[in-house]
Amino acid sequence: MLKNRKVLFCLFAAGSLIVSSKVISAEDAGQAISEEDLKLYQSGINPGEVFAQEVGGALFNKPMGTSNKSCASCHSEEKLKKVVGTYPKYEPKVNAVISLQQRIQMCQKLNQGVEKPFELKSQENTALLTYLKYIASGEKVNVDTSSNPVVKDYYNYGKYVFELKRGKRNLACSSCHENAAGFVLRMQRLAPLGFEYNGIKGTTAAAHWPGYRMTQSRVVTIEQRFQQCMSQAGMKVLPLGSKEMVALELYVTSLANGATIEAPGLVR
Amino acid sequence: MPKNAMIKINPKEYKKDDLVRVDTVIMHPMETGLVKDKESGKYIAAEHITSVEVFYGDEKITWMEVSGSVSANPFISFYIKATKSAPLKIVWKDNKGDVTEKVVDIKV
Repeated sequence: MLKNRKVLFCLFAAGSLIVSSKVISAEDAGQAISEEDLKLYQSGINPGEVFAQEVGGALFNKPMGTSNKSCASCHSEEKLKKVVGTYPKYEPKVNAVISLQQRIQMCQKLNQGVEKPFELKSQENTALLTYLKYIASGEKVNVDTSSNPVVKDYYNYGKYVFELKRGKRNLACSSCHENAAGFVLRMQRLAPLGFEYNGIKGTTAAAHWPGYRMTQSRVVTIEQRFQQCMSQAGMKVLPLGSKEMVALELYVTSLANGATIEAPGLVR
Repeated sequence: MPKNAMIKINPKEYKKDDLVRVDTVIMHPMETGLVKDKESGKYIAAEHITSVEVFYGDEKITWMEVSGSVSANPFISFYIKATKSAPLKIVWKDNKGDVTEKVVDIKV
């Protein structure tokens, strides 16, 4: 209670903390959910797990397309979980970096013979992605950023998108997630991405996406989260699966390299 | 149509007569019937769980009355004493007549 009061006082004193010079520590920052509740949630069941196992697991084992094969008839879970952390990854067939969701579509089209693969925004594609990340929980994020020119190009482009100021408020991703790191925005501490930035402890967020958003009661992928952030920041929303989005995903995921995958995460 | 649900026993390893926590989640929209659809402007029909019943072996050990005020995808958690090896069955019923059943085996 005392902690919350301190934060409130600071909020009133500064008007808006984003323009004040005081940096608030993570312990002082208010949580949208009380710590006891958060612990209970984390030790219990995250509804995203139900979604991953029941919806995603069922799709994983369901035969589809002209070949009448399911994902499980070719892929063993033991082998799959080793590669999930390496996406977005360079794909020689299209000479580009593709996200795991696009890889699912590619496999559906080429190997299963499905005429219309699940769309990127569809619940089915999200379910399959969540299931793959769910079985890979405990493995490390390990994306490649420099093995060939295409990957390097995507990485640099992702960094450019991250730092490019756009929209009616002239904000970039980096305005909040790098430059304002450690400040409080709408009662939440702004954590920089990555393990550490300028001595401030960051968040390896890419490791726990896709996540179950408590405010929306559904599982959201990292690209959909980017879109929601863009629309709230007054930017033009980039389409899912575009070069910009995949590059941004690659850049953000590379900041979480070495972190343990804990998906689906429990997010606000 | 039954909904997706999950039961977990916490901790995973337990002995006879231990208190264990049973965590359950059911994916349910829990519509109150008071919310309007943004596009059509009409009320979304009420769809919420009305009762949760817990059976341990043949015995009904606890039950709960639930109304529309409970949030979507409700997480319900309770403690039981693992006195015998028997299936633990949880039954969710909703106001549209859907019945979801899920069973875990308690082994002591």
